Amino acid sequence: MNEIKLYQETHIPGPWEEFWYQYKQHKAAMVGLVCLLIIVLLAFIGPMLIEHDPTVQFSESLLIPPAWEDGGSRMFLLGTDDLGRDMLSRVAYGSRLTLGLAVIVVFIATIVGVVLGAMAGISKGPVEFIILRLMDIFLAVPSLLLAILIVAIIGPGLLNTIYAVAIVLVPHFVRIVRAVIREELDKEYVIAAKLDGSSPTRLFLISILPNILPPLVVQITLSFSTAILDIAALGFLGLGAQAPNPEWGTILSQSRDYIQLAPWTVAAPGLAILITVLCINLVGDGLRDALDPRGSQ
Amino acid sequence: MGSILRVQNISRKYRLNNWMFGRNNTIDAIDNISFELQQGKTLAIVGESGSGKSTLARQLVGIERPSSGQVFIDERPVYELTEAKRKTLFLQVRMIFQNPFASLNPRLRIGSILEEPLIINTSLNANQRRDKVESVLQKVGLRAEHARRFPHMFSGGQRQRIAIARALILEPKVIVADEPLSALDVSVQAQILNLLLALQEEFQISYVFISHDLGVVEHIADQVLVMYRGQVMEYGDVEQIFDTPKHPYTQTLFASTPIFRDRVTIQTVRGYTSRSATAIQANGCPFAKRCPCATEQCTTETPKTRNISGQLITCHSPLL
Amino acid sequence: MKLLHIENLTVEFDTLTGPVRVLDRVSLRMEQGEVLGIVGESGSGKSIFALAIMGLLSPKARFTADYMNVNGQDLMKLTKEQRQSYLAQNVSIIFQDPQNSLNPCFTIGFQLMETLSMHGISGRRNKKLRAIQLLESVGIANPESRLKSYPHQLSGGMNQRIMIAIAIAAEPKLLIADEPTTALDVTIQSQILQLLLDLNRHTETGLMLITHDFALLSETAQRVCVMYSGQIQENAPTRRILAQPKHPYTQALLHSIPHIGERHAQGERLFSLRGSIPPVDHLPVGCRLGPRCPRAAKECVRAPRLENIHGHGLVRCHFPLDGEET
Repeated sequence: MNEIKLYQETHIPGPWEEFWYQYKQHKAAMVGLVCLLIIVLLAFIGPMLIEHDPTVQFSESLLIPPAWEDGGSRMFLLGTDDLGRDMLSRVAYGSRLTLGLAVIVVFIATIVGVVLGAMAGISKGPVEFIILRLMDIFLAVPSLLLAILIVAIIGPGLLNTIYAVAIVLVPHFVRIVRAVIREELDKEYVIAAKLDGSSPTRLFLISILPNILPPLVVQITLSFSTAILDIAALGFLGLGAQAPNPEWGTILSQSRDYIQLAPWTVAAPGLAILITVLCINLVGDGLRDALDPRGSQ
Repeated sequence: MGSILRVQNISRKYRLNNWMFGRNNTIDAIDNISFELQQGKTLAIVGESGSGKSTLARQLVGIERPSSGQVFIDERPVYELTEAKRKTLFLQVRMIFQNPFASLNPRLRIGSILEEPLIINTSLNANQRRDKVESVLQKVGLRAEHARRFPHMFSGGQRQRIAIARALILEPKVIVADEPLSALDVSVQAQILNLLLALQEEFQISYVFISHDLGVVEHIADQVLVMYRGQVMEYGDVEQIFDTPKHPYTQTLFASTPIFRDRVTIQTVRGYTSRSATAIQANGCPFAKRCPCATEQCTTETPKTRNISGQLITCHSPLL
Repeated sequence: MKLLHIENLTVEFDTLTGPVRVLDRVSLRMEQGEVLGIVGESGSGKSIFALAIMGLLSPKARFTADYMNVNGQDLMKLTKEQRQSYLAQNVSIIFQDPQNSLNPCFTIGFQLMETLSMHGISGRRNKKLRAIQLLESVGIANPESRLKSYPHQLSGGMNQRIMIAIAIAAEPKLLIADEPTTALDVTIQSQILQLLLDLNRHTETGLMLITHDFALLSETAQRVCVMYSGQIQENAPTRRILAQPKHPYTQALLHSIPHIGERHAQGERLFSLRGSIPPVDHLPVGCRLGPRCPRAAKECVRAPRLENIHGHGLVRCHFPLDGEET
């Protein structure tokens, strides 16, 4: 078609641009994204701006209310806890711990989940059967209960929390990856690639994997919020991060006794968890809508 | 001269593993089909949906293995060869799918889609591969810079050109095209048809062209194979089939297309099939229930294939 | 009284790159009992046109018309609710894919009788009798037993017949058929077409046949309206269009179909237009066929108007074909 260009060459939106346009349409998701970026930024630079160390105890200023309350001090913006530790500093350092753990957990779960899901999706017969039934067993137990169970077996601690929550998340990844692969294998372009003589590994890496990414990204985002909740819950129950560590769940459990006397000690970490999870879920919803194939036409 | 693609008595059965029907119940998707295709010629396969056209195509390119019968590529029986040899032989037979929107991977650039078969099957280096991709894009009427784009940036006709480029890139001898025009717009169909014809003349490619559009079939085919419910009803040269259709089913097909109506001797098309009637009786002609010329014999006895002056007809009472 | 009289119907959608006009000032008239064919490729706006008449466009669409007169009533003067109930009484539509138009969860009989009760037929017995009558009129054998069937138990052709039965239940004045045979096998296609024509003849129902296939219209429609890129390009009696199309696009459509007995000879090619249909958000300046047209000239950057050619019909072209050349 050696025709003369009769149209002005205008900009053709690429897949990412198209995705970004769709995402921007979603107002709530944009708010979520901005808030999430702020939270992540605070987790990185926040602790540098704060003068107090999260574990230093100011024995002369116990249970000081936040600065805007009567009796509050400008030294401790969010007040102090029963041991005289600065709440702002604890929540800020806690964000590093909680978010960081969640990232590691989701990373491990994604890798394991995709590998197992791919194995189940591509092979038929006993391999698929065993993987799927194993995942069914995991899914049959409520996720938090399963995490508690695993920690109970391998013992409490930060590292074991990671393993436990990761194991809880894996079955969801396996299911999604397997379902998408099954769908993809019937598509004509995959048949065409098979006719090219692709080996199963190559078929997976080149033809199928790029098409799994959208649902996988959504699942990763949503898993992230589950991971934060589960890590905090384990910390709260005393099975996760241990006492001096300023992990959000751990702070909550320590402050529980003073909820009447000093509500700010509970409110600060509680709100941190609430806002973070809310933002992640908003982002996840937005991603889901923007990556939906029907929306991208 | 030997044929480039020959198919001998191939059948394909699908097992219905349904607890209601019990095990070992099979249906014949295609039954005892033979044909021969010469280099640079076109064989058109015509039939309604459910006639087994697409199943036949799947056997020809090696997506599935026929339950019985033999496929010869370049006069070599593929299913008597080793796995590796069979694979290389099947590279001579490439496929174009019906729907250009489903047959191109939406997340890959055109260049990567076209490069894939070269990476797997040839020892060309990256530069040679890029040259090859560019030259094949030009052959199908696209520009070299299109290689950097994604499929969703192209229209249906352009996508079908890309699909043709993918089929061409390994320089095959046969291309199996499964309804390559039916998803395209009328004004674009002619372009693609012209492209297929030009490529055939330039590279002496043979086509197995599956279509339900009789006008297109008459235009490009050298031979025509009319199928009904997995069986060959009539097989012969395009002149024979289109000038003197002898099978009542072929005539029925012609009668239902306005521009061909004056070619047929029968005018009535009786009844229409419901889904429940798709089970083939053990005996008798599969078309007997709808056939305007059916006799007692047609429902009880399976018709034999007869050769009437080079035209193969499976019917008890062909219309002469 | 005209059955259908539409003036300057325009439909716009908002997209990534701004508003897009999918239908551009379409005007159309239909007489009572007429069979009108609308031909166009994908993106020509032919289906949007049908949906616009039926008020079935998505709420995102901006929809304007000078007036839209269906059987003597200007729809633009009615409220949304009034329009819907008026249309339900007077216009019916059938779509391309019968399997998706019928609800798989209910029997044919239930769906038919549901429609009947909406049109004021009450009483189980009455409804059943009418349903059987309707199925008979669309040529379904054993209508009584078919009432108990589910859509998946029937073939595509049968389901399309049932869709037609549902569509004519209200005894509409106008039946719009949007690609009614495209999803069906060739042998079934001609039967469905015959059925639609019989209905048209016996009940004086106006029939608007929307299709991409000229061959389908050659024997059926009295008038053909050719659409391209959201505009009507040619609107003339079928006989005249087939004998001598005046618009280059119409000619291209007719010539790109292989003719009877035309077998391929070495080096011979079918007539085809260059390039592909312009996307609606990226239309060329002036005549929309311009960049693809074999006869395009300097004047074609000015948008042509739909003008009457004496003894033919309406044509939107600066240089209509005049007959001698082909």
